[in-house]
Amino acid sequence: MASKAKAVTATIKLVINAGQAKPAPPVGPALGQAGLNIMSFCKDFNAKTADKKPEIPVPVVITAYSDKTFTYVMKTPPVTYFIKQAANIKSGSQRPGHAVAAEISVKNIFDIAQQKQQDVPDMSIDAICRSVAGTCKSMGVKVVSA
Amino acid sequence: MLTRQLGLRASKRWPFLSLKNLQSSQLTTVSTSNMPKVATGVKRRCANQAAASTAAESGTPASFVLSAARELADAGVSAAGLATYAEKASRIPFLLRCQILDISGDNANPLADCLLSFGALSVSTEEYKAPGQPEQEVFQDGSGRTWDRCTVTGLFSSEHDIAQTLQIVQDVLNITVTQHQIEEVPDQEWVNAMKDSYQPTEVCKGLWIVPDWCESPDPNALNIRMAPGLAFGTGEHSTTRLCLQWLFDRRDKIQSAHVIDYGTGSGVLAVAALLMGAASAVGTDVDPLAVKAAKDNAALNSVGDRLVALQCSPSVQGDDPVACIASSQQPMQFDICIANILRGPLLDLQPRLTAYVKPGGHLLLSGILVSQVAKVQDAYQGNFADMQYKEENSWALLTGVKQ
Repeated sequence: MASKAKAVTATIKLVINAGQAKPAPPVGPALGQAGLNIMSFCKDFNAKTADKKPEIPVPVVITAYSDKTFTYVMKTPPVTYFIKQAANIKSGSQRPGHAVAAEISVKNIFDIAQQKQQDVPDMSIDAICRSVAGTCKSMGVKVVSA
Repeated sequence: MLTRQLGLRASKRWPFLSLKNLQSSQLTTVSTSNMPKVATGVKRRCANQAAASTAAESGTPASFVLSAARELADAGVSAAGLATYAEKASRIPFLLRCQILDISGDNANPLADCLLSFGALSVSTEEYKAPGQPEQEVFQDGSGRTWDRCTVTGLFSSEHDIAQTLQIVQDVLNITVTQHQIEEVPDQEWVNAMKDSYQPTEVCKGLWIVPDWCESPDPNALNIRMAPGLAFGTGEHSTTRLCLQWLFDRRDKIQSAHVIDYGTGSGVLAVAALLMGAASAVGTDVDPLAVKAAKDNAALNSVGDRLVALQCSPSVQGDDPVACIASSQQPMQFDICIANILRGPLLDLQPRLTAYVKPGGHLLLSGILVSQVAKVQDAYQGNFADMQYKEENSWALLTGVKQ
C-alpha cells in the first residue's frame, strides 16, 4: 500500500446531519484546530451522504495525519436516534429514571442492535442489545416485551 | 457634540466608557472593578475580549466590543443603554473547549463516545505528552491502535454545563479525570486558521485563483481575486476546477453571454465568467453569507456592476429568484446556466434550471460524484442534447446543450 506509513496526529469524532456539513461549528472549529481543509471535507461528506435521508445524524471519525491530510469513516446513526425513531418521540425524558418518555419493545431493541452491529463487528449481538437497553434507560424509555 | 456630552458624563459616572479609552490598544487597561452593577458574565467577557484584542487583528472581538460600545453611546448611558451593551457584548460568538489530559489509551475511545452522547459538539483525541517525554508515533495501519496516554478535547456550546458532564462521564465509565482545563474559543480563532490556509491556486495554465492578500505568481494570467470566507468556492475543489476549466476553454465564446450561477457560494464561477467577458451574471444561494461573499468578490474583481447576487429559498416550492427581479433589463433566460451543488437539489431543481437555459445554451451541473452522473443525466436528458461528463478525482461535471 503506501510506501511510508503516515503518523496520526489526532482522531476527531463528531456527528453531522446528512448533507449538511458546513464550515460553521461544530465542523469548522473541530477540523480547523487540526489544520485540515474544512471545505474539502464538507463537500466530500455532503456528496457521499447525498443519497441518505436528509437530517439523519451521521457520526464521523476523522483521522488527521502529520502532513495535514485526513481520511474519514462514516458510521451508523447514534443509538439515541434509533430509539427516538422507534418510540416516535423527539427527545428523551427530562427525568430519566423517574419519568418515562415512551416505550419500545424488545424486538425494536434487537432491530437497532442489528443496525449497530456494522459499527462494532467484534461485539456479540447480545452485548449490543444490552448496551441499547442501557441507553433506553438513560433516556427514560421503557422496554416492554410485546 | 454627543461625544463630548457623553465624554463628560462618562468620566463622572462610568469612567471606563470614556470613548477615547476604547482604542484597541488601550482596551487592556479597562478595569473590571470600575464597572458598577454589570453582570459578572459581561465583566468576565469584557476582560477576556480586552485581553484578546492586543493579539487579534481587526474585525475581531476588539471591534465587536467597540461597535457594542458605539451602540451603547447611541442608546445613551442609562439602564436601558447598559442592557443593550450587555446583550451585544454577550453575543460575541464562542465555544467552550474542555481538554482532559492524561487519559489511558483504552479509555480514550469510550470517553470520546460518552462526551459526544452527553452533548459535546465534537471530540478530538491526541497524544498526551508529559513535559520532557518523547513523542510516540502511531501509524494508520488499521489496527485501531492509539497512543498510551491521550488528551481528549471536547468542544461544547457556550451554554453547556461542562462540570456536570464531566461528573456524569466519570460515573458512567468509572474513570477518574485527574487533569482538565476549560477555555473559551472565540469563533474568530478557527475562522482565521481556516483563512490562513489559503494559497494562490493554479486551476490550469493561464488561470489562477488568488486570495486577496496575495500577489499572483503569474500577473499575465487571468487572475480571480477571492476574499476567502465561510462560503463554498475557494477554487481548490475538483468541481470548481472542472467548471472553471470548461469556462476557460471557451472564453472566446463567452463574450457577451448572460450567465446564471445557481448555488454560487463565494461567487467564484460567476466572477470568472464575468472576467472572461460575459455580459452579465446572476448568482443565487440559500446562504445569506454566500450572497454577501459573492457581491464582495465581484467588487474585488471590479465586475460588481455586472453581477446580481440573490438569496433564494432552499425549498423548490420557494419563489424563483430570477422571476423576483424580473424587469426589462433583466434577461430571464441565459446562455450559460451553472449549478455546482449536490445531487439532491440538482434533481429537485430540474424544471427550474431547464427553464433558465436558452435554446442552444449550455447547462453545467456539478457537485456530483461520477457514480451519481447517470441519475442526474436521466433527469435532464429530455431537454438537453449532447450530454457528456468530465471527471476529476471521482467528481464529475455534466454538460448539455438545450434543444
